[in-house]
Amino acid sequence: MLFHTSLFAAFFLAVFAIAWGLRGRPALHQWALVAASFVFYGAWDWRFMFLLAGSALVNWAAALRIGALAGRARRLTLIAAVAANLAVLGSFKYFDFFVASFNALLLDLGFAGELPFAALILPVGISFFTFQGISYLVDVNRGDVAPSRPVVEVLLFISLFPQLVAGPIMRAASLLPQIRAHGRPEAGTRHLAAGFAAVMILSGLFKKIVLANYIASDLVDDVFFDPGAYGAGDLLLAAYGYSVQIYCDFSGYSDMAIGLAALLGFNIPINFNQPFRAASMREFWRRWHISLSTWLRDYLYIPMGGSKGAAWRTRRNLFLTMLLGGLWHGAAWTFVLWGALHGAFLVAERALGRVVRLGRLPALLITFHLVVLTFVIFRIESLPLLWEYLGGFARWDQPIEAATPFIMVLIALGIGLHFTPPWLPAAMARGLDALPWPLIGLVSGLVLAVIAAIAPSEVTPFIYFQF
Amino acid sequence: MASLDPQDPPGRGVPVARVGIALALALGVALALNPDLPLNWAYDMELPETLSLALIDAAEAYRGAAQRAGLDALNAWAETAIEGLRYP
Repeated sequence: MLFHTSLFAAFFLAVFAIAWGLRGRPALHQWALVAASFVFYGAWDWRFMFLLAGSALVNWAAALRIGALAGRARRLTLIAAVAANLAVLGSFKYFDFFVASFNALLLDLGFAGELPFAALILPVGISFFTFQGISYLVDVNRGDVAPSRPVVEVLLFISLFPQLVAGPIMRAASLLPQIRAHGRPEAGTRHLAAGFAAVMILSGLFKKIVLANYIASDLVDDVFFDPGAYGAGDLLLAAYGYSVQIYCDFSGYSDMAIGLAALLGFNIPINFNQPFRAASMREFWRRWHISLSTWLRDYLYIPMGGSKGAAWRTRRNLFLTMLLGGLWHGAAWTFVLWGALHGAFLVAERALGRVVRLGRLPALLITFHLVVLTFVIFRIESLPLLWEYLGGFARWDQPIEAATPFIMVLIALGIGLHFTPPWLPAAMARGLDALPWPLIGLVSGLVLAVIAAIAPSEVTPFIYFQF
Repeated sequence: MASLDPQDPPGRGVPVARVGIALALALGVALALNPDLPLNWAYDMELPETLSLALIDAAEAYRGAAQRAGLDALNAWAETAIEGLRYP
């Protein structure tokens, strides 16, 4: 069930009415949201619902145990529970990747590489809810949040549908208190930030189904499928195009998730903050997929030692964090290379930062182009195709064929969005909230109709669903 | 475009029930203006008749509320929406 479909619109309207209709009965209100989330998830494949329920129940039980124990037993329980989460993720997402890599290695060494594949279907959003489950266990262990006794709280924390399949990745310490507030009759929400929700949902829809869609279907998909057939101009524009596409696709989804969650009474932090205006790779990761980069920082980089200790240890921790962050995105060597490059850039930036001083504009341009280069690696199907793509930058004599003026305008618009004033969305939200409520509906409906009218008929899948 | 910070959404907000009706209105307007959905779209999409009847009942209730509130434009729009739901 995708956010931009009329099926989801009908589903959300029903969930909104039922959930708020049960506001006076907090337990039922929470269970209604859990039921809706499982229906939403089961719409992909009903079997996935058991995996989601299993993940939530294991984490619920493990957190209660962690909360009740102390010392070594507590630590061992935490390690076992985190390992169980990673084992599920590893089985579904990485098993075949490691088998294929191991088979290739065996063949290279002259043995018969015939280890069998598991051929499991990758459950949508598994990387997101697994990380959320681990966050719950670690936050309980650190004492940042108390373990939940009512199972409904953990079921809702793991499955809350607006952010279930592609984030933002929520922290237990941030979302659980909100879920608990929904479970108290005296703390019922009375007002919702309608203007805020409308701005988030509509801008997210525009970014996804207009900008990302046109750029993907009219340029990026063709060029990345057969880069050898295009000249340097098309390859360069497709690289810019994909960077804008993935930003609009993913931040569009995140914005819609935040807006939809707001309509259900939940605050979800922003996931993107104009990332292409970053003037360093470090700043880029503070603006891009913020919920993942802060998760990696707090649950991987800092536990490994962070920046405490010798310089080489800090560099190693940075590099390993980004390498694993790359692997989190998918079971392919291109993602490993993508993560390794980001790790290397961060390490180099840390080392050179004290020596080289650049103005903001040159630093911004260099950062942007390094990011664009890494997104080519992120998007390309295989390493041989990557070499073909990069080799094509020598073909400047070949005219631009794939990138039309219309697509170039959309790419420019996608980049231009990064340089709009930061107060603009808040001003738009305030403007909407100042209208009488029937007008909020009318205006939102008109904008929605315009977006639907100008969008291409075929909508490409959300990029981050595959992770 | 910069994203809003949900920790500090602007304004005091709108009562939940009114947000619900505004949401239904937004989706209804978008649906009614969607060029891909002609009249009798429910029939063309082979929507079950019971569901169409339930939607018509809901739209009628909305139309009644709009009429009582003196919102003529919404009343007229609901009338059109109901037509779209009817079987030929």
